Amino acid sequence: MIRRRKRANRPNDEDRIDLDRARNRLVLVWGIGAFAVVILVIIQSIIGRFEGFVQEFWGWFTPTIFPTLGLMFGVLGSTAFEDDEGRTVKKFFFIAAMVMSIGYLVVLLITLLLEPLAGTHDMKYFNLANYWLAPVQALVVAAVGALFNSRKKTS
Amino acid sequence: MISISTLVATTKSQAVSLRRGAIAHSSCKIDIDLYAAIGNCYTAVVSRPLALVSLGLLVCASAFAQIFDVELRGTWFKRGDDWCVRIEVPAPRVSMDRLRIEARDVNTSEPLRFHIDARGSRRRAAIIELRFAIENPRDVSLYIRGLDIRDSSGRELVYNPQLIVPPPPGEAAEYPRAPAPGSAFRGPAGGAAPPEPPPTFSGQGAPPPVPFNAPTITNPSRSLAASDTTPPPKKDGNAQIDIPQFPFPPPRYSTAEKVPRNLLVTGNSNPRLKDVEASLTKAFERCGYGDKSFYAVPDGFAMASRLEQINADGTPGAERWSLDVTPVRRFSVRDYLKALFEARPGHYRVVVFVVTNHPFKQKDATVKSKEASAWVREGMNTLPREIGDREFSNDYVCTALIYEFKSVGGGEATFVEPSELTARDHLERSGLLAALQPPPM
Repeated sequence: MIRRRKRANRPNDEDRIDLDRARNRLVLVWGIGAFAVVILVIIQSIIGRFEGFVQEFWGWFTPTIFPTLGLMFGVLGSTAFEDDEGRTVKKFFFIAAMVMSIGYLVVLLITLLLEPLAGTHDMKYFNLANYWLAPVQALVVAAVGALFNSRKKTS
Repeated sequence: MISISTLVATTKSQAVSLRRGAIAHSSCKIDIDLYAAIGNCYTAVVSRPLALVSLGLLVCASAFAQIFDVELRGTWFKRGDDWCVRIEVPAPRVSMDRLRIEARDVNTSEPLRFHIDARGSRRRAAIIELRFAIENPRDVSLYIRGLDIRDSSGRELVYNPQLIVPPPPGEAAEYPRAPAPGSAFRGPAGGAAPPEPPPTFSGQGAPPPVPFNAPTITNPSRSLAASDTTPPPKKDGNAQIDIPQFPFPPPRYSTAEKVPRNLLVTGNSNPRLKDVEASLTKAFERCGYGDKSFYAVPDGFAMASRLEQINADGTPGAERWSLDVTPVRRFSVRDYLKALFEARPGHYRVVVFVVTNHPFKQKDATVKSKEASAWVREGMNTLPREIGDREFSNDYVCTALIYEFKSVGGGEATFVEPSELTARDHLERSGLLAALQPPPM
């Protein structure tokens, strides 16, 4: 009860997080995740795992990572010269976006790592993976977009 | 947003701007007002009902008209005791790999049994000869499919698959012949020209072999019905079985090996083709090849196996009859990392044993994996008696043809030529060679 009261009575700013900080954390998560996945895929491509369907594979893989990264860097770039001090975003959105981003990157990595054990293989498998990756990615992009566009100027 | 009405094409040189009929020169662009163009066409057509009626008639006429580039020609002739039909395809380039022929009596509409006695080419025409199991020639309706006819420039030609061949004068069957529509001989002129008389030969009453150019000929003197090494064919149902033909000469194979004769027939002083077939069938069964299929080749037979998945070393794959590449079943870090980072192509194989006394070389044509996998279901389930009773004389050779395919990236398996393994490797690692060995005494 005491905790609930405290939560209900705490200042409004505690429900918000500094926008720059939130963006930087998200970019950090996406950078690390994307780096791991891209390095894995590059090594696979160089060794010859995708022999015979390299173009199809990269055509499938590129939209899984780079549009979201592009969105982030685009927003960061466009606001790089602005003074964003005092801008905040709801913590809920930040946490939601962070959880979904981490979840999506983990699912993507697991998708790539489990391919040797799957019943189908090669492009049949990757096209199958779109069934679960696409909805999750849509949620992630929505969350990241909402976060990167939400703002509040503190008085 | 791109608007159709402002479709703009830019050129490097001077350009023309067309707008509502006006032609004006402008700088470096062609501006076409599509709405205006469509409107002009619409007005021109709709305002003229006669043009619409003409257009309708033209469409109807083109829909009903059957325009063929090539008309096949057919003639009856007699070879030995049998009546044959020679089909002539007047075109320079004819492929018969997927040849399918149906024959019916025009008067009774009953299907007629026959077998393809010979294929080949003569001058600028391809020849197909059908041997019928009938006493007298008659009006026969042939429906010929699967011919790939092209002109000298490679353009595909459309041919009339329907061919009605009337009997020679005085040789018609005894039943009263009702005049059938379109039963006239369809010669090159398309009229009711009389059929070509069968070619006559000096010194013999029966027609001699047709001098084909292509190596695909079946020498009539060695044909199924007139071989000097086999007893004369019986005039029963089995004597004239319509058995599918294996492409001969066979299409390009990955590798091939002659099977030693002593592995096929042992301890038999007068072996026949059915003994060879029995040895091959037993070997197939021992090695787990469930399905097999028989085809006719000139004076012999071909036995095709089912498409099987193999490992890169030629041994049967873990999921032998699956067309999908096998995933890692038993998890080990080594196998997993290998599967994660290395390509996993699927290797597939079809084994075809060709038993014939006709030397052959491979034809300059490749088969697709789908075609090869269809061999097992398009042939006969057993070897017809008329072929099996033929003597397996010393001039007969059994050749194992290996058709290997490889798929990468989940796409269709492509033909492998040449195989990285020898045919002997394939036969050894499939177990067929060991299975053909006679049991120790």
